[in-house]
Amino acid sequence: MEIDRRQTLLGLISAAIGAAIGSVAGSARAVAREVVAALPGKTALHRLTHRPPNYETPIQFFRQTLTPNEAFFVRYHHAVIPSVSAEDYRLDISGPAVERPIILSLQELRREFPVVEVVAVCQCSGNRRGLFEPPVAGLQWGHGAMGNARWRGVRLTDVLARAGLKTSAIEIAFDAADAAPLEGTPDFIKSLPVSKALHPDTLLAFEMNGEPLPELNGFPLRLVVPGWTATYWIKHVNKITALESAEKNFWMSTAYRMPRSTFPLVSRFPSQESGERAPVTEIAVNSLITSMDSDGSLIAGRSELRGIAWDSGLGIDRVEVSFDSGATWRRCELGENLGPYSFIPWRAEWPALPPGRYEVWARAANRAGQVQVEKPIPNPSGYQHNAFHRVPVRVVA
Amino acid sequence: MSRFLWAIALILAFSGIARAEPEAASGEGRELFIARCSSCHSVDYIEMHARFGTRALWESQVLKMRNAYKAPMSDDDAKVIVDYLERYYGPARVDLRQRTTPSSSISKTSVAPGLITGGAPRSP
Repeated sequence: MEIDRRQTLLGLISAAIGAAIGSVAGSARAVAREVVAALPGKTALHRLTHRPPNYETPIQFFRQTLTPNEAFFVRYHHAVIPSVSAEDYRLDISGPAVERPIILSLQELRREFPVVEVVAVCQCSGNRRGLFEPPVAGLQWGHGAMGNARWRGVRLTDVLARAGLKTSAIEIAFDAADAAPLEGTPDFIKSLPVSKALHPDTLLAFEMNGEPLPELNGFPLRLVVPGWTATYWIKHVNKITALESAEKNFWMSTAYRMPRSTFPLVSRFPSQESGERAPVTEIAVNSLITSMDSDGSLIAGRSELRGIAWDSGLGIDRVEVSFDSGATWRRCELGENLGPYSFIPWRAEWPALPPGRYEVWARAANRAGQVQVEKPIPNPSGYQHNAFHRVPVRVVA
Repeated sequence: MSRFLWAIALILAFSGIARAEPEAASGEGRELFIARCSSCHSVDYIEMHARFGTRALWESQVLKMRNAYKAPMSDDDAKVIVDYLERYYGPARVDLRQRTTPSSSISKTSVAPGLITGGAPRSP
């Protein structure tokens, strides 16, 4: 406990120093938070907020390609999180654009539809928001508002086919069991364009890494939208509505949007693109160094130099590291590929460098030619931070 | 169950845990801040922004809570709350608050399943 407090203090001090020296610390700045095991079924995570619970995954868990369930990040918009039993659970599929409204139990979902798996990264749109300079209001996430898991469930397209989707369908909306304490607060409802909803990789998942979904990751059923940010991955989903017009609630029309000039780059959401801002959709190409010591730095030759890369499913083409502030880049070796939506591990050899202090930068590029950027693209809500990951390195004689 | 009953159940189930949440800074406006804001979220949402908690920031956030999240507050309430946040959660106050915020331990804490509010016990 004493050590924990000291580490927290050290974190606060280093954050203060980082803020003081500004651009030098730059994107290497860490966000100071407590690491606590406070949630049922979860190991010690970085706590951002108690209520609603928002906890992020410490970086060391990303040394594994699949993020353990007990370390998987937790993110809720609203504080009322009811417990739903698997027996009592029902999924309602209705709306103006279905032929036959249906209600399915969890057992019916498991028995009556083909069960499939996909490995996919679930990443919050605001992951790394706390690293933006100047700061942006919102949850001050570090690097861990994400995780990669093997999701098992049924295809949303198969379930929608059972209800019979009319050709007039424009969007599919998803509501869940959680709610805000106040009646007036907009319920967290998100929609997908029909094209993404019918994509064969879009699932209603009941398992994660071979186990039932953890309570805090959406038990008993959550939407899995590979390639798109976690805002669409509705947890505890219990109502699916096929719409003949665009969903207009706050979470679609105001939140989770970016200036059109920024993102998305490929995967668009045309029925929501009114006004100057478009919805956040695809996960931006990104990478992370994961082999740092507990102080967040690396020692050349002694530490391993490895990490992960990911994108929206277009496929990672290469990961490169630089030791000279981006003047030259060295290609890294990519590891086992668990599929286009998964983290892909990478490693690199240390170059021969004179003793001293350096920074290693990592960047990934995908097969569509998208490359990480040196500085995150500023946007009002601090989404899609995909600047190079920068980590201090010591070269000792 | 209605949302109101859920809220009551939540408060009853976690009255013990709720005490482990950080407490709002003492000072003028604290009671109104608690009354208008803390039914929906813990005060760490505020602490998280103190590093850059200018008056403009707090005004924009209080406005967002009223307009988008429908937090019930009058114009007078909003002004008192913005004053409170600016005074006690501005960048200059970060050091003071860090000393008064209860720290938590690394401990495997069992929280009853169901309505989750998070939270670890205070250090013994």
